[in-house]
Amino acid sequence: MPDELIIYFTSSGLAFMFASWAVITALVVFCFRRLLKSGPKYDERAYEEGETPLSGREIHEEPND
Amino acid sequence: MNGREHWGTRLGLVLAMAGNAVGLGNFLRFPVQAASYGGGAFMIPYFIALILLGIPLMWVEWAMGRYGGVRGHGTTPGIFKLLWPGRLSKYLGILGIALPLLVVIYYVYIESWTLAYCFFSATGTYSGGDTEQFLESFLWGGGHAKAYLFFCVTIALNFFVVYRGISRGIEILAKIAMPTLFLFAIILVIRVVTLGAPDPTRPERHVLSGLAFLWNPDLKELANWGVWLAATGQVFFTLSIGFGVIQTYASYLREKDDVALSGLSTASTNEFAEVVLSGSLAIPLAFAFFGPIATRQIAESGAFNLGFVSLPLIFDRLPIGMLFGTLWFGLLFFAGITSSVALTQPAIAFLEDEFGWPRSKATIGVWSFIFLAVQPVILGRGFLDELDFWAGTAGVVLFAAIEIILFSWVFGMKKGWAEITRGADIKVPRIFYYILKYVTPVYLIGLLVGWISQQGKDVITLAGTPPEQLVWKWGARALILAVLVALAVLVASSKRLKGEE
Repeated sequence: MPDELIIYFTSSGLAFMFASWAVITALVVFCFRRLLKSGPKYDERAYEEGETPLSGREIHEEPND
Repeated sequence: MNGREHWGTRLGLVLAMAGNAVGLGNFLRFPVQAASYGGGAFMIPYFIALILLGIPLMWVEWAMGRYGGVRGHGTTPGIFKLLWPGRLSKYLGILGIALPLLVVIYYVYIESWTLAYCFFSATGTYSGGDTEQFLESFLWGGGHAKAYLFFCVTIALNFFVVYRGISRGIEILAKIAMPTLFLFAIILVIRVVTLGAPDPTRPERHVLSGLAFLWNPDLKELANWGVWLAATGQVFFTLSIGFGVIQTYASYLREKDDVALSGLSTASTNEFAEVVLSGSLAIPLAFAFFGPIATRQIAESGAFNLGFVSLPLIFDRLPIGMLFGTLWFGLLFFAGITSSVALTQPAIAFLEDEFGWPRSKATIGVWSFIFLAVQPVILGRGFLDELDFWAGTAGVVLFAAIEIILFSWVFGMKKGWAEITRGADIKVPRIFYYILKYVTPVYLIGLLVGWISQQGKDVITLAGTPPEQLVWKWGARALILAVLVALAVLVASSKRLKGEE
């Protein structure tokens, strides 16, 4: 009866699963550590160093438009 | 900043973006696709598509959104016009509003099922139904009034969140829903992986065998073109690429805000939810209870049967199964609502940015349209499938091909690269410059040509469609056409898009 087929992990399957989990988990940890280190509230950074956000009207007059 | 709303916190933005990406596709579509296409064999093209298409396009969409947003355009008609001042560009951008609007029409309806099932699980309403036939009739038969009530509640919740705006609505929802979703998923994964073999007389039906079923690679399957197509489609769907939503969310950034790290964080969070958590839930669980052959049959019968028929049946057999069923459907509901509020944002931002509508008026207009458009989805089953195919599958690949060509070749990769790397909190590897310029466009065009040549004729002529569904499928096509025409008229009449304001 085919339903009785026993599926074992092959070594490549096991390695593939753990490698995938490890890479993705490491990426999440890396990203969020960097994010929390460098990411203040957007409001606190607003307009620092004299930055002037552009308005829609100004940009419509830019060469690229 | 030019009168547009903005995100309150960076974490809030990333969680909202991740909320947009982590949706029903992660927990229902991914396991079904993986199991149907040979498990480990599916994962190889999946990861290739993630690296060559998913992550690069994620960066492109973030960069395009920020570029448009600081210039007063939060949706793709305006953004495309900035990238390419040609007459046609703003009309190509219509897809970035139409696709999410068409997808949310059926998405919000399925989302209402998850809310209903969460309630049914918590109250034990379907408890005792020990056959698939019982649960199928529970899902598809009778109870329309009750189902409609949950649909109305779902619409109301979505409306409430969107009405409150970006930082006070969508961002707050993401900060609550995303950690809750992950908590629910982790509890469920712990329950599943500690299950062992639930039937002592069937030791071969073990959870570990279920994981092996999903991860053992069958390299012969890689010669099958369909596996590559399915894996690429899943990457698009899961990352919400090609929908126009990422551009709109990123348009609320400032010019020097990072997009590289934020985009990568969104993609990795989504992959954690999909590959690590979702991959350890539905399929291993179904395998442990039903065995390999039935699991493949369940997967091939579709995501709905897996999520709404097979899993409730399993939870009902587990000790304190009501709790696990509630967690499962609660998880799906949170995944759904964070995506559905995102899907409506392009249409709302379009009315705000290009016509100067206040948010309240735009929200009422868009959600009134959605409410009316969902009615045929409720009435005819073919309607949903047709919308899903054109908007949720073919449309997103087409739109992504258009946007990558505009970004890399028309706008120019040098300027594009400068946009991606401006203010970046990580160093983006230079190889992605060449991937974006050459590999991603060729990959997408090849995919479109391959699909059209293999299946295009059958799909367009609706070959093999049951006669009773034909009227609904043509109705769905009429709706798609009507939405596109209406948006084209709006785009043509916008003074801001003409540059008259």
